[in-house]
Amino acid sequence: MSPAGPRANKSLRLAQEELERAQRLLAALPYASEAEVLADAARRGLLLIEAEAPGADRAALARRLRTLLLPVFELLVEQDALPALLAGYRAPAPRVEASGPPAPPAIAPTAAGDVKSFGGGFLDDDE
Amino acid sequence: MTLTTTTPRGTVLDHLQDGVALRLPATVRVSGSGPLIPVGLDNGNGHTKLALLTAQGDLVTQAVPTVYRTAKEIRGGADITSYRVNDGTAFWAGAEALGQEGDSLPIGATSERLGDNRQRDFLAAALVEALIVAGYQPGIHNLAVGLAIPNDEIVLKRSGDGLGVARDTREAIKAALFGKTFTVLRTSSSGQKTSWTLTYSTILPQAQSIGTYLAWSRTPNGAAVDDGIEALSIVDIGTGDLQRTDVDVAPYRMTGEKLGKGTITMARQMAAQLGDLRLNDAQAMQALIARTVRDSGFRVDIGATVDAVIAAEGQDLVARLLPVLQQKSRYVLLTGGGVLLAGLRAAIEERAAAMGKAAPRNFAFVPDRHALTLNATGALLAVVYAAGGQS
Repeated sequence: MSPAGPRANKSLRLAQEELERAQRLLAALPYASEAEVLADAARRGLLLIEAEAPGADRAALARRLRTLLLPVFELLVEQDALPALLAGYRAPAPRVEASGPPAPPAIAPTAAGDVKSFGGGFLDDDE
Repeated sequence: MTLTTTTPRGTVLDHLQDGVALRLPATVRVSGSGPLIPVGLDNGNGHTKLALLTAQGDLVTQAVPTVYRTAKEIRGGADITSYRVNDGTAFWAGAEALGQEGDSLPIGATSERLGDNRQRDFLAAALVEALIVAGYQPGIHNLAVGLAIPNDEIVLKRSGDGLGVARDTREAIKAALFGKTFTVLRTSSSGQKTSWTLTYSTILPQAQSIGTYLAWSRTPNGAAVDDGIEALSIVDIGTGDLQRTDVDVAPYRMTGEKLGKGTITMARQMAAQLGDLRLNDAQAMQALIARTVRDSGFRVDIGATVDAVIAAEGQDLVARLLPVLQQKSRYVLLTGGGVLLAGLRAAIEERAAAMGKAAPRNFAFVPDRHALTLNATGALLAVVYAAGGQS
């Protein structure tokens, strides 16, 4: 959730690779626009950088970062890439049976005929 | 949310608008084939649109500027993703090619476009990028491709029993793509090389606008939403063409008509006004949508110029689609890249209001987020439906 209050426009210079990453994220996650991706990236990035800055409210920052970093920790655990600093604190992951995505619904029996009605149909070699 | 009433209709488009997963099968089987990845491909004049599914069955769409440029060596700084198809010439594609003054690939009928090997190579590169976004890894991928073709390339069969693909189009698709394998060597901007072997194992050509109709009128499993609609006109405001497609529901019937050129006319007029910048067609189209352009290395806002061009030139396009809005027997659905132009859309709404027509009761615009890619999504749906859910 973004903070309340008025907004100011700021421009960014980004490398092509960073733009491509933003576009991939736009396609993969429920953002409304590339601008929203970049704004969210900026908000999250500022919090991360603040962890290195003196004078921050450490307790409040820790509470915000804990939530923010959960997906990161999950990725690191999944890839067995936790830093040594954290490895000693890691409890054994519970065994979870992968259930997989729910099965897709059965296709309606009329659907193929409808496609054909409008001239669609798979090309056949002997047609 | 729905386009005609406030009662949800549960259509594919409703799902997309509400962010609800479609849960379509991520692979299909056709005539006893092995598992094939279903893909929707709309090779538009301004943008090539793709739709495919992740392994979890979630929809991913892409709109890639149909721009090609032979790759050059970059001597410093960030490199550009390049492609080499079947050991051919290295090239750049899409937005990166546009940024390096690449030009649009030639427009025209399917048979003309597929005869150009740059077009075929470009499509292979675009497919690779879409597969990457959908989470696929390099390797061998067999595809079932729903190919959105110009509406006027679907014709009455010579036998008279229904609609089919025009002969020239069918032969061009068979010669260029059907059963063909394209091996793409992709070199990323960081220099990483990956190899992708794509085979068009089967192809389902479909009229472009029927893709929009399927997404608008079907639930994800392909069942028709029975909300009483009897007749519909789809107005597709494309780059090259303005097209009208009339669909009757019971019995199913489709007729189509070109209403002249699309938004390319406005883009070229804008390029003429910005003469010093020497914009090619692809750059002009991009500038029309983005409302910015690069001038002497800096990005410049040209919103006022765009608005003026649309106000002047857009009236001709609006006038050509007015008869569709004026008629009272069909619901009207407006789609295509043209609906992304705010000034054009406002002009259409203003003329409709003057006729006493209101959205969503009499007409609707496909939401911006989907207007470019809905035909490709519908081509993907056609593949899944025609395969009958075999996976």
